[in-house]
Amino acid sequence: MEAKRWTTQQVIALAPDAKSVSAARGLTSLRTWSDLGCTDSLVWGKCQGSGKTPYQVTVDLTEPAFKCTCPSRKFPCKHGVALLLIWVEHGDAVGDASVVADFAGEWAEQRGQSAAKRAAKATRGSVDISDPEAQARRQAAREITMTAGLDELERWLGDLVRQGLAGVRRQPYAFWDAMSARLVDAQMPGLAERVRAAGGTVVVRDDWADHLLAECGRWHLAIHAWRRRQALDGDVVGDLRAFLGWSRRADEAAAFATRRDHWVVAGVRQGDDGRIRSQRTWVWGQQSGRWALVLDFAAAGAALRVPHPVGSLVDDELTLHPGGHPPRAALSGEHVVVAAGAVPAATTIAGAVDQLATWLAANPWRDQLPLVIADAVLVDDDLGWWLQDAPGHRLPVAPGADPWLLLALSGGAPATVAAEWEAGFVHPMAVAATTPNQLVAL
Amino acid sequence: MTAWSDLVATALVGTERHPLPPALAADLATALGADLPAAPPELSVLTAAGVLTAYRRAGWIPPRHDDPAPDPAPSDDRPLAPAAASQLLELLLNGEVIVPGGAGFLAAEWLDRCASAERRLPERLLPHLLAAATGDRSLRAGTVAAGGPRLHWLASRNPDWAWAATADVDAGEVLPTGDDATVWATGESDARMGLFAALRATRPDDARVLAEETWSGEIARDRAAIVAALSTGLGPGDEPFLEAALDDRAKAVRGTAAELLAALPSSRMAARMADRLRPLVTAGGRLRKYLEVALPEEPDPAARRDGIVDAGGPPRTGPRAWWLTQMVAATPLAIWEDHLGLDPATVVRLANSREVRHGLVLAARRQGSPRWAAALLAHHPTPSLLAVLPPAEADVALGRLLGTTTDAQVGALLDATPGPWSVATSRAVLTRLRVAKTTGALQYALAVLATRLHPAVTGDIERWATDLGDDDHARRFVRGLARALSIRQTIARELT
Repeated sequence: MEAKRWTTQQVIALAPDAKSVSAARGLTSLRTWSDLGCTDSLVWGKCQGSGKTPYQVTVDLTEPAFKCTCPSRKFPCKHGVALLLIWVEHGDAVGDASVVADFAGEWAEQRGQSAAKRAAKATRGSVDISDPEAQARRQAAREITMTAGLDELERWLGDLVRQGLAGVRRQPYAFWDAMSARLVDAQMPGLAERVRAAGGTVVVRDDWADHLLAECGRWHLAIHAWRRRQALDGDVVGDLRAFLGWSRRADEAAAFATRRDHWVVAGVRQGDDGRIRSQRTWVWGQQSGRWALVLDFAAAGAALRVPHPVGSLVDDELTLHPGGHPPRAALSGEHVVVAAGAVPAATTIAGAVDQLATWLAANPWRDQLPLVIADAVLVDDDLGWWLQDAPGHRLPVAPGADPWLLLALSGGAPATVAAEWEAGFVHPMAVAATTPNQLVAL
Repeated sequence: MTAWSDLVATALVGTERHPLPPALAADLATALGADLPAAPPELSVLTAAGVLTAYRRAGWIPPRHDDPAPDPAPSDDRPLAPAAASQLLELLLNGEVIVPGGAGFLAAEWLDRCASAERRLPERLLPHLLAAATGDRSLRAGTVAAGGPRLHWLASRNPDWAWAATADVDAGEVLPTGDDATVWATGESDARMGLFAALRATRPDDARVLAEETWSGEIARDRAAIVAALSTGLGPGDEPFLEAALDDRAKAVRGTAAELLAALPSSRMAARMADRLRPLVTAGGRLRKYLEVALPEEPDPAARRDGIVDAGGPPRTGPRAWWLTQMVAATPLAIWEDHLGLDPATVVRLANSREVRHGLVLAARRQGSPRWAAALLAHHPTPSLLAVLPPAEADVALGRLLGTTTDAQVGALLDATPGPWSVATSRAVLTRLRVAKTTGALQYALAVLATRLHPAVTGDIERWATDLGDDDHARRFVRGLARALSIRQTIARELT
């Protein structure tokens, strides 16, 4: 009885970068491997590297999770990827085994144990939280703390505008960090990070005054909205909570709406604020025509979840966080990749900007939004690169974005381009060029 | 939107110093559709900022241009290179293939084969390849040939890749661009000499013209380098320039010029040398032929000018013998046949003096004469002659000579014999390298061995690597050689 094995593309999608794929390919010679075997959920093997003892490599297919004794800090390391490539491409070398190798079995057991511990903790925890009175008391206390923090922010902002923004460039970082720390204490880490980051922009940007006033304006809107939160729509409150950084508890998430659809992975973008790495996976539902955003985070040193390859079609029931469109979403544990090479519906730039306007009007605290432009070409002039569509409208491409791969893949011919809008610029994420129905990540 | 700029100006100064101008307040009220809430002015400014920002972001209108987009790249009808081959190229470009001495030559071979096989490069690799070839000139010709019209088009959009944009695809050559003229006029010495050498390879006459323009202003070191570089693509067109260089102030320039002129049998210098040599040579006899060459007298100024020097002769040789060798070396070989009516083999057989034979060896090498080289090799197993022979003969000669060469000379022997070598000769080379007592033989350029050894001996090389045991340095070299050969085989197999 053989379990269904993966495809090469799925394996390659797991690698952290292209270099790892090349490195893994270099290790797929069967001569360097021994003790290969697999079951439904595990694949294992030993790889002879440059050291004396072979590295023990194990992959748990259900997540997937990787374990390797090599010293590499990449995640997954090239040995893990290579093992999977062998499992997929040289099936007979990796036979189904009834007896799991020692090292693989030990690790699987440990994982099982810690998963069980976590589950036990959660149930213990939920018994605690499910007491509605205690919960209501805790929530009320939190809201009082947040109100106090926002009141203080308003006074701080007022001082800033009264004394004039011009003076702020002479302030040390401590000026911003102190207010930021206050907001962390007041349980609003999202807003705290924005205040801290604003301190950096005033010395870097040419348009720092416009940017700072706009940011302060947004924070002030949030303070206003917080005070009127009882009267606001659930979606607006959801967006506000996301902006402030008030995250959802697990039991709250159980009550969220869900949407089942075939989701096209349109593009992936990563961010790094120095402390936390974030990853935005934009997905578009084929049946609903709606977008959703899957967010992943990793603290420094940890690995981000490996996203599905761009262009894959995932059948899943996403859990949607309350908020304006496009909502933040979470994958359920049982998503299935049904195809590769799907492309979302594309619009003209005018149509996309219209859509952006609707989204931004509903949620002024949004930072990134998705677009898919039909028949787009990259053009450049003295000011920089632009994405231009058939009717001739142009979107400015972010100054740091590399145009060459998009140009090489499209050859300058009109193609469907998926991009992420951020602060007035677009970052191309993927293009369907050489094969019209195959979306390729940039 | 002036309301926004005014708002920013007010905020910069501060509402303490400068209250909210009533006109602005009125504008904002209009814009917001309601009066600003009664509040301290700083809070009004903040509220207005928040709402206006939301308007500005949501209400942004994209600019529109009526100019059409630039033309897309022309289509390339060649089929795509096989996926395995492309992955190999990616590995080579990423530096993932560890070969002592660098793997650049393997990438260059990949690209050449791809072009010959009429396959096109996968588009996703084009930016990476252009970046790599911008840094490594040896990749440029192959990149242009394999990249095709899309590569041209892509390169024309990026000033860093201008070298690829103006290249001539059909001829597979990379021609100089305006950029090159600037380098010649204003660049550093290294860059200029590198450029000159590259130009001589594709357009020797243009390169010489470039040098002639700036000749009088060049420093001695550069002049010497330029004349030395003329050895690439040397032809009769270079004769006048070299003849003039015989009068140069710098000895290095004069010496090199004389050497190069000796390689041009039609040059005036060669004719002068023949005139000098002819009176010294007597041949005759009917039944028993003889050939005698008298030793010359002290060279006159004209002979000195033509490159006859006192220094540089082999040890324990008298000055007159050395002068004779130099004269023979610079005389066109055709003289022996025309003037004496003797064929090469006979001359070699009859010439019983060491200095004459040495001169003939030098002449055969400089003048590139396979007939003379073959005749001389029969009596003189000299490595440098191998380079002159046609490949098949050189291959056989190499096999024969390997047995008698010393360790120190093996490198020179291999260097002189152009590849690709036959299987038998390759095996002989490996055997010889293995028994070398010093590791000096292995200091040898891996790229040369990898390109000349026959791929069939890859297995032998791997066995050699295993047999080397603990010698890390040697093992790394030999493994690297095996790897390079195996990659070349893969390239040949995938790109046919």
